[in-house]
This record gives sequence, structure tokens and C-alpha cells, in this order.
Amino acid sequence: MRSGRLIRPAGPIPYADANAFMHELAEARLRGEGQDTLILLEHPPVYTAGRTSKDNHVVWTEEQIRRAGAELHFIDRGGSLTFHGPGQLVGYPIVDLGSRPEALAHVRRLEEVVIRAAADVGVSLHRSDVQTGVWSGGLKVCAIGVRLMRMRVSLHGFALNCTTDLSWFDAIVPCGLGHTGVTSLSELAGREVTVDEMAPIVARRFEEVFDLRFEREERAWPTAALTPAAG
Amino acid sequence: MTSVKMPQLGETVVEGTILKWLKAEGETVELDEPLFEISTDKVDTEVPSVASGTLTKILVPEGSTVSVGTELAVIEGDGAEAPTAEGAGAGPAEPPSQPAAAPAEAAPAGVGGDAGSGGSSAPAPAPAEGAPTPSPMTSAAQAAPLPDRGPRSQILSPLVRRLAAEHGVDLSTVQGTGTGGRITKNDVLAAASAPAATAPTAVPAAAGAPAAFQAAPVPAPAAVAGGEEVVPVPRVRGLIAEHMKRSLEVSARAWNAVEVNMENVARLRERLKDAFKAREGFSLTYMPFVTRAVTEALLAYPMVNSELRGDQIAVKHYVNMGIAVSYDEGLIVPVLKGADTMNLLGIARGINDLATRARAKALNPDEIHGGTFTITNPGPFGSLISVPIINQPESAILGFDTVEKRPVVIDDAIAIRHMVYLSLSWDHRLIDGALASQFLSRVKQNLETWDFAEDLAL
Repeated sequence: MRSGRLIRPAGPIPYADANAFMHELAEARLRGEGQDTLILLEHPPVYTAGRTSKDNHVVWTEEQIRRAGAELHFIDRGGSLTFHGPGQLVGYPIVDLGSRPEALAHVRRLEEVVIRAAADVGVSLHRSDVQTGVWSGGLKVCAIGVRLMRMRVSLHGFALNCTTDLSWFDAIVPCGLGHTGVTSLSELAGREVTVDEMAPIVARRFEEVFDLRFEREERAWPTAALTPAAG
Repeated sequence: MTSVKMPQLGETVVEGTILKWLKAEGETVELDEPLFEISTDKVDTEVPSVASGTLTKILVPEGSTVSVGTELAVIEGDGAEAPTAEGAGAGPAEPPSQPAAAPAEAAPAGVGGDAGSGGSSAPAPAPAEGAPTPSPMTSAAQAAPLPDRGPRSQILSPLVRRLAAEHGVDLSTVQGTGTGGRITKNDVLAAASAPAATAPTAVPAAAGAPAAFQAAPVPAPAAVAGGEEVVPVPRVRGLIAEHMKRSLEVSARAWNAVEVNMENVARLRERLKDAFKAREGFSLTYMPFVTRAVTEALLAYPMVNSELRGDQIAVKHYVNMGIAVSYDEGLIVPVLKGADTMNLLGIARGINDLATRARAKALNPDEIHGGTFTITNPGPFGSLISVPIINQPESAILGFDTVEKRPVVIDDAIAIRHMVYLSLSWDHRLIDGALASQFLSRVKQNLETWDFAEDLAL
């Protein structure tokens, strides 16, 4: 079995840092360096807009968003506008899909990881026939958006609502769906299901679905890697 | 001059949207340098250039959605070009280590298959109307240069060429282990799997599959407690379960069987199997003989090859034969299209190709749909006789079990012959017992009386 790298920083990581780091990992992976990696983290409140976002998905103005203490980033992943913040487990798998990537299969795997992990805490989730993501009835529990670097290495990933304050989603129409609501594992389970509870479960299910093994869990955020070489 | 095409982002992806051209017309581009970005469903990617040179013409503007294979741009080359000109990044490389599309699900070996579900199966969509047709497939010979290692070693079976093309194996680098140094199927597969697989393999790429199977809540992670191991139902298993149950719900299944004297076939096979294997690179099994015999009988009794559609019956005068293949995740039913146009050799090659790729999880989505009848063959696992479940929306399925020597009465004497039970599960809504028996008798007669030898050209 392949071994993989699991990075799960203890505290929330600003979106820009995580975004830059995952691109760095992906570049390395493209060069054939490093291992397939799963980053599991929480972000401070941030709205991210994918390439296919339409302006009218934002209900709040940028000004309102900033006043509420959140950031807004326009980024390079597939999918539309979404929210990340406290209580939400965000997973960034940086995985080499090979030179003939089964891109949708990767998305389906991410869904599978989340479905199995939710089942582990007694919550039954499912896919939608028409929309990427993981759902409970008509309510979205986990958003998924993926980009491939150089048609080969995956970037971005999934965002699983654990104890997320769902009022953050009032600012946007999630994924451009209109009228489609969101929910969280805690709401569905009828108890508090925290990010800390879910992270190891998700990591284990990820190992299973992606057929790899994490040898250890890195709790420190590897900021050093971000520092450009002097001179 | 190199044509840049919409690459395939996986077997189930049929189209993509040009998000952005990273180069303008007239600019130079290096081999492997990002050239454009595309979006498919929720996956975006940048696509590296397949050649270096000057981007002379952009044919598809940003924002357009076109089908896989559509010509997008032209690069006037300076010589450097990726090993294949099939399309940006779409060329053969390491074998896709992921299963192709939603596996057609079927019962455990011996219980038949069910590719697609009554009416809900989604054939691979045709290219968008008006869009340029994807270029015809690059010929295998072109994609895989032949090795020059003396006359003997140049004899390559079509299967070997195709496998090499599919897996991007350069045959000139493969050491043949067959007779006289010939390259066999196994040599190609070994060469193809030599580089470490980089992609994960755990979950079938069930893109577009119904969300019908939903992971049930499992009380505990996979752990053994009190002698029980509780694991989530694997996706393929769930699909199989659903389709099997549905088949029994919609059809009025009845069953009968005949015993067939296979001595004729067994002797021919015994006589030719070594030469066949040497020439074709794979073993001659009983399956092609049965498939050939069944195909003829389906044309003779087309109602067995029919489908109930509401208040109408579609009677099919062609045969797309579903072949149930067991693999590590369950069972899949690839379809041998146009079986009625093939002789025994064509059928043997077709079945071997489909079975090989089914086990390698390298089938195309359209290869698991469109069957008109299915054969399941649990014989190799020792089954004496089976009662398969009909592969909806077909109307019957044939179970082909173990061929073994039995004492039989011939002309009032007891003789030893290779015998087999062929069983048929059929939908009593469309077929009656008399027809089912006539059909089976025809298959029996074909197997017992035909001379298959000339078909094999050995």
C-alpha cells in the first residue's frame, strides 16, 4: 500500500496560506516529489468563489462580508461560491491522478470518503443525481470543488459542515443552486459532532477509499515551506 | 502541424468547457507548458501543450463547451511533440488504474448479471450536435511502433497491438516471452503495469451512477467484535444488490435447462488449443463456442432476444451479447456488440478483450450498455447448474456451467462424453416454456453438430 502524508494543523489556517501551500505541494507532486497528501484543517471565515461563480450568487455585498469578519477570495477551483469557517472540516487532497486522470472518479471518491465518515457517527448521507457534493435529503452537508494542476494533480477538495454556524450561508446561494439549503452533521446527528471528532474518522476513511496509509499526523503547519528562498 | 484536441478527463467525461486560453494566436508554446484551462462538471484543469511551436490558430473560443476530441487549436511545430498526437494529454500512458464508469452490476458469479437498470441506464452521450466529430481513433499500429527483432517476433496479435496502444506501451521496448520471442498479452500488461500506479484504486468511478445506493449508517468502523466484522456496503455491491432485486420485481422469471454433449467441441478445442494460444496469445475457452451457438439461436428465435417496453415489444434482429465477467469488486457485464456479425474467432477475440479490460477496469461506458442477451459462465468455478437472474431490460439469460466427463447413453450403450448443462432464465411475460425449450434445443443442436474448425483458420 502506498504511504501518504497527513497534515492536520491544530489551529485555523488563513485561506491564502492554505491555498499557497497546496499549490506548492501540487507543484512538487507534478515533479514527482513528495507523497499524495491530505490536508485537514479549519479556516477563519472566508467565502471562496470558483471559476464558474456568477456575481448574483453573492447575496451580501463585499462590504457586508468584510464587516461580518469574513474574507472573499476568487480562486481557481471548479464549482461556485462557498463558505469556509469555524466548525467546518476542510479537506485538501493533493493527489497525483496519473497521466490519464479520472477526474470525476476523484470527485466521487471524495464523496465516498464523506459518506462513510458520516456513517461512522450515525449520519446517513448520499450523493445527488445531478450535483456534486454530499447531501442529506435536499440539504447539502459537504461541498466539493476540485481543480487539477497540469491535468494531473488534484487541488482543493471538500468542506464538511460539522458544527458550522449555518447563518454564514445566508450571505450566498450555495453553489448557485438557489433555494437549496445547507445543514451540518451536528444538526443531523442531534448532538455536537465536532471537527476534532470527525478529522480522524475522515482521515481513516480517506486511507480506505484512496488505498493509502498515513504513517503519522503532522500537527504543525509547515509554514517554513512557504518562505521563498532568500536571494 | 499538431492539432490540439479537447482531452478526456476520464472515461465518463464527454465534454468540457474552455475556461481560458493561456496563449494567444501567434505566441510560441513549449511542450508540456500549460496551454489552456478547461472545466468539466466541478473539476477544472489546466492542460499542457502536446507540442512545442507556434500557436497559429485557436478554433474554439473561451466559454465554449465542446465534446472530447474536438479540435481546439493548431500548433505549427518545431519538431518536439508528445509521443502521441491523439490529443492534449489524452494519449496512452500508464493504464488508468481506476475502473471505467459505473460497473454494470450483476450477481455473484453464477447468478447472472444486470448491466444497467431497466430504462435508467445512460448510454454514453453522443457528441454534441454540430460539434466536430472526435477524430477516429488513432490506429493501434501508428500509436505503437512495431519492434524490429526479426521476422518471427514481428507477428503481433491484434490484441497485443491494441493493448499496447491502450496502455501506451512501446512494443520495441518489450521483451517477448512467447514462442520465438513473440510478445504476448501478458508481456504487454506486465510492461504497462511496470511503473508504479499513481492513481488510487479503491472506489469504482461510478460517475453518473444513481445515488440509489446510499451508505447505510454503520454503527462502528470496520472492526471485528464478537466475531462479526461490520463494514459499509461497497458501492459496486450496493448497485448489484439493487439491480438484482429490481429484476426479480419486474420480471416473471421461469427456468429450464438442457444437457449438451460437448464432445465435438471438446475434441476440436483439445486439438487446436496450443496453436490457437501461440497465435492469439490467449487461451481458447468454451465460451466463444457457446456464444456463437447462442447467437445463431437468438436470430432463429428473436423473441428470446426481445425487450418489453411498456405495451410494446422490441424484437431485436441483431445480437449484442452481454458476457458476465467476475472481477475483484464483483461482477460486470461488458457487451460484445454485433456478435451476430462475428465468426468464432472474432467472438473469441472480442470476449478475451472485453474480459481482460473488465478485470483491468478499463472498459468504456458504452461497452457495458446496450446488451440484448446475457451469458453467465460460472463453470470455471465448479458450478453444475445455475439459475441466473435476468439482466434487465433483456428477456432471458443463459447459464453455462461446468463441462465435465459424464457417463451417457448413446445408441443404447454407455459412453463417456464431455457434457454440460445449459440453463435459461426467461421472462414469462414474453416467452413461454415451449419457446424457451426450442431455443435451448437449437443451442444444443448447434454445439453438437456444427464444425467450428474452419472458423478458427488454424
